[in-house]
Amino acid sequence: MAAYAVRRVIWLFFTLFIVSIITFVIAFLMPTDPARMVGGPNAPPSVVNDIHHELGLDRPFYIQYVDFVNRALHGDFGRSYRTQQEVLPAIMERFPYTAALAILGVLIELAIGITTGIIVAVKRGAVEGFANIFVLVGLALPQFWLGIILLYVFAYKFPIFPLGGTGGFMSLVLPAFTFGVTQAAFYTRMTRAGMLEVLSEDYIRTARAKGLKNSTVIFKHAFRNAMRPVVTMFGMDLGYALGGLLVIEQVFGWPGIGVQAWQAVQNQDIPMIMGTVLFASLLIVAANLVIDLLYSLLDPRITYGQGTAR
Amino acid sequence: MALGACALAVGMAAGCGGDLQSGGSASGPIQVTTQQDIPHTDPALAYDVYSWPIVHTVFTTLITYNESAEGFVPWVATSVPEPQNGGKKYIFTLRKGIEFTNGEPVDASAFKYEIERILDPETKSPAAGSYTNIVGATDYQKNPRHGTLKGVKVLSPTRIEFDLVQPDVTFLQTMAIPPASAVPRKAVEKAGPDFDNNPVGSGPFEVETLQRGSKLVLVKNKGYFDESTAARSNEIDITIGLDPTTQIQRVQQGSADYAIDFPSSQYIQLKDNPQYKDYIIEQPINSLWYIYMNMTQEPWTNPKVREAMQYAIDKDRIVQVLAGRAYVTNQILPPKMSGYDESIGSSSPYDPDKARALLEEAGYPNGFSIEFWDLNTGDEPKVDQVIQQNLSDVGIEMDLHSVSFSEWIDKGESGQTQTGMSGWSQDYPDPSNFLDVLFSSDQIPANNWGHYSNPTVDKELNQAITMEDQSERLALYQKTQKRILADDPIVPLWNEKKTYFRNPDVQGIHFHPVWYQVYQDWYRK
Repeated sequence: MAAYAVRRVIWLFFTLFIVSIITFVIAFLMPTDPARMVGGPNAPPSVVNDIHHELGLDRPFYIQYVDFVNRALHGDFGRSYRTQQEVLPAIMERFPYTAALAILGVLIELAIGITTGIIVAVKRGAVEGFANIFVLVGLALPQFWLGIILLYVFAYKFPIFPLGGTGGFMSLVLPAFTFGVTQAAFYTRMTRAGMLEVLSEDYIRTARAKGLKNSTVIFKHAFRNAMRPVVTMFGMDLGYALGGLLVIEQVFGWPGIGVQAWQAVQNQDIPMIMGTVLFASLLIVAANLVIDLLYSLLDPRITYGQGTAR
Repeated sequence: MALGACALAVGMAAGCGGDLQSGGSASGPIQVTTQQDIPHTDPALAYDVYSWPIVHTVFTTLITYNESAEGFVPWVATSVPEPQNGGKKYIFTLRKGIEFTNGEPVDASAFKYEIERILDPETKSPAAGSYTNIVGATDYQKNPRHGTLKGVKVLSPTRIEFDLVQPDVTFLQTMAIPPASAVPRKAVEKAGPDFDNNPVGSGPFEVETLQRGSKLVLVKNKGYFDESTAARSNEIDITIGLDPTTQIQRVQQGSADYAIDFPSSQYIQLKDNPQYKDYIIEQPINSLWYIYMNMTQEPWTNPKVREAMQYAIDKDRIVQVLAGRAYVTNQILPPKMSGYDESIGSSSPYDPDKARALLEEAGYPNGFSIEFWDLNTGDEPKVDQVIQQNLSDVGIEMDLHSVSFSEWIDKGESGQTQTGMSGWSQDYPDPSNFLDVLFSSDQIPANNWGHYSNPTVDKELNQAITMEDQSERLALYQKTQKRILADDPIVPLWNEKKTYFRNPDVQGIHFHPVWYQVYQDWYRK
């Protein structure tokens, strides 16, 4: 188990290394000069050239990359071309907003998804139909559209929640709900598939044969075992959401790292692009690793390491 | 490591509920909303319409613009100086006893230091080009660590002299724009690049909070030196990152007072609504959008073809697709700029028959095809469609390259593009900032993307820049502008109209041609 964890951590760094190369290459393949974005439309070409030189952009590509890696390994990701902020503190200033939104959003997603998943697995008729329609409509709604509608109804027409921006817990509800509703269908499907599979197992028949109540069979025997794939997906989902939720952040004026990354791309702010992309990648890779390790704890049948097959 | 990162994430999220700020309310601070981040607060870096209103309220310059921006008024200086030594020397006398909010003195060396910072390549100032006419500027740029900028002399703490290489009456303009603000040396050196995030100035307001991408709070500078230009409210909160639609809804709802962004859809819906008559502010800004034609490339080498273009474009239709937020123009200078020529008229000369006739005369009875470069953002693609349709009607096939801002500007500056759309908005409100920048042969291809070159025009522009008599000078600019237009190097299309949505309870809001928002004048009724 320990050896496995070490190996996975090494892979994690390798993955980040590959991501950094790809991102760096893409940032440099853009046909235009980041110095122009720093200078703005009115700066004459001579001034833009000076800025280009000052940013070190006239050095060969590989030297710039090596320089970046060298500094990054010492924890220095440079300063934003645009805002002059140091990249890491700038990301950490925004991250709590994204984290709050991601965690509440994923919890709502999970609550809706699992509930409806169980319903469609065990119920028949109208209840199943409603649950199915609810999650499918949620899945089909574009996030930006649902966000605008929620804002219009619950913040403008009936001012229960603030109209965008940050303002305590209340301002978090609509964006988190938007995320939850539009993503819940994935959990519904997974929960349903898991439940149906488990419900056809022998031990469920045994449990029923013992005369246990239906609810006991479903929640005590079937549910726990059906949850394994859901846990995996939850981890990946959370990692993804923590990396920034651009569309929702944009619609609700939520100052998270999704918007930050997007603005960095708009401004060709290379240090900020590198920082935000690597940060988001780290979260996804790390979340996956944590889930894999937790997995073996949840299900003792799964073990990692050598020799288990023999 | 991975576990640590996850635990950290959860810990921060749990702790962050309390960190989130409270929302706006209808009383108390004036609430402003915007989508764009405020790019800069450091005067040496600020060079855009989002940053300048902030810099103008947090920092001070020697002189500044009057309300119409057609003249100057003293600010830290006691008077607007007269040029000496044949227009190559300016001496400013400063008021005594002014301090930055950190206690450093606002004296002659604080102004000199700022000009040196701008010229120092390490600062990466977009404004550097505006100060290279100062004696010793180019030497200083090459070697900023050794020595001092010779052409700026601190005669005493309250007297500063500027020496110019060439006489240039626009020097005073460069002293009135935000890059020329005094900055406190100790605070700048202590903060380094972070001065942009922790500005210390001497203006009517000071920055209390600056959270990039979410909030900027201005509070009244209690130690501000001049009663008559002091802030009239105690606090202005600028909420950043809000969707434009949300901004308008906030003002309608009363939870915000002023929306910087105003989407076309809501503008169309609200502009004729009597309930919101007092909410809408509309002003032309000093900008020009035009089609340039590269005069070194076929078919634009033929003046008849360029003339035909003047009649081919339906400018009224363009203004229509811009949701009416533009004015048709047939000249280079914008309407709020001194030198604007009323006699030129502003109705669209659209006449496709005449355009076709001219093309036939020019030897293109079957038309031709062109490469057209434009931005892919904002309303540009819609405008391009109109132009494409118009040109097709007179037999010109337009191959559109719709590109990002930085690619568009790179292509234009390369001087290789044949045709395209371009726009210019002022650095400062002086005719030279349009006529020289866009049409002098020195500017090929930097800003003169059409390679327009006319020795008489060059001569007149060089003459005008040194003329101290303003009315004679403007008369010469009008003459030169007519001369340029007669050569048809561009098709002038429209001047932009800025629109804002605001709560009429906030008083003192007037639109300024340079600052747009003058925050220090705003107050709640």
